[in-house]
Amino acid sequence: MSTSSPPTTRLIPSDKLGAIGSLIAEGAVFEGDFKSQKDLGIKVDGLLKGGISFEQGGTIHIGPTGVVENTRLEADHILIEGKVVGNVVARKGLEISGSGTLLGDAAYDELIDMHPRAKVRGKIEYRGDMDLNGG
Amino acid sequence: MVPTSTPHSNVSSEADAQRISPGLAMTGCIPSTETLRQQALQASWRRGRGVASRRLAWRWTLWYAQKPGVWAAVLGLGLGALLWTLWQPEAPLLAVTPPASAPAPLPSAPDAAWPMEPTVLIDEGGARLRWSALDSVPAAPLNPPPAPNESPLTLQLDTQLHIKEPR
Repeated sequence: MSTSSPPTTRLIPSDKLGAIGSLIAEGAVFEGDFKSQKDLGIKVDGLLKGGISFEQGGTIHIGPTGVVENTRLEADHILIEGKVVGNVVARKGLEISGSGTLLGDAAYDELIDMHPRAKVRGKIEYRGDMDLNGG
Repeated sequence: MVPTSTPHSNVSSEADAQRISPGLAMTGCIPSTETLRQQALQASWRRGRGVASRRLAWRWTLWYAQKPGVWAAVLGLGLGALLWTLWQPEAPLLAVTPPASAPAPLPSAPDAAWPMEPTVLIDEGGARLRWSALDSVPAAPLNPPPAPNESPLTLQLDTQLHIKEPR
C-alpha cells in the first residue's frame, strides 16, 4: 500500500494534521455547526455550510477541494487550501496555501503564513501584543 | 449454558474483536477505526495534492499571462526557433526515403534503344536517384547532340522576302 504524507506546511505541525479525526469527504454536503471542547481536528474536502469551533486546541484543515460557506472558523491551527467564505480566528497559527481563497476577515494571535498566490479579500488582524512605539 | 453466537454478531469495538478472535483486526476482516482513519486521511491527502498543484499552476499561469514581457519573450523564442530550423539546409526537417513497396516513378527513358536501370543510392543526406547504363550496352549520353541539318538555310539578304518586284 502506498503511503501518503500530509501536505507540506510551514506553520501547521504535521502531527496535528495527521491526528485529525473527522473528515467531510469530497462530494459530501454538511449543514450545521461543528463544535468541540477537546483538542480535536477536522478536515473539510466537501461542502460545509456552517461554523467550526474548538474551545481549546483544535486543528482545522480546509482541503483543496473543500468549500466552507457562511462560517466562522475558530481553532488553534487553521490551514486553508480550499475556499472559505466567512471569518477565521486562529489562536496559534494561520496558514493559507497557494491554492487557498479566503473571502472574509482573518485574525490570529501568534503566527501567520500566506503564499504569494493565495487569494484573500478581507482584513487581516493580529490580536497579540503590539508595541506601537518601539520596533 | 454457554450462549452460542456468531463471532461477528456482538462485535461492538476493536477490543471485542480482539477478545473474540485475537488477531482478527490484523487480518483485515474488521479494520480498526485507527486504520480506517489513517487510510481516509491518506487518500484525502493524495487527492488534494494533485488538486492543489493544478490550481496553483493555473494561478501562476494566469499571473504570467498578464505580463506583456512574457508574451514578447515567448514570441521571440518561437520566431528564433522557427528561423533557426529553416536556416539549416544540411539537416532537413524530413528525410525522404523511397518506400520499399512502391518505388518512386522513374523518368521515362528518352529512347527504347537505351536500356537504363535506375539505381537508388541511399546515403546520409537522403535518397538520390541516378541512371546507370546496363553493362551490355555502351554508355550513351542522355541528350545526344542533334543531327546536322541537311537543308542549309538558303535565305539570304537579297532573297524573295525583301524583293517586292516580280522577277
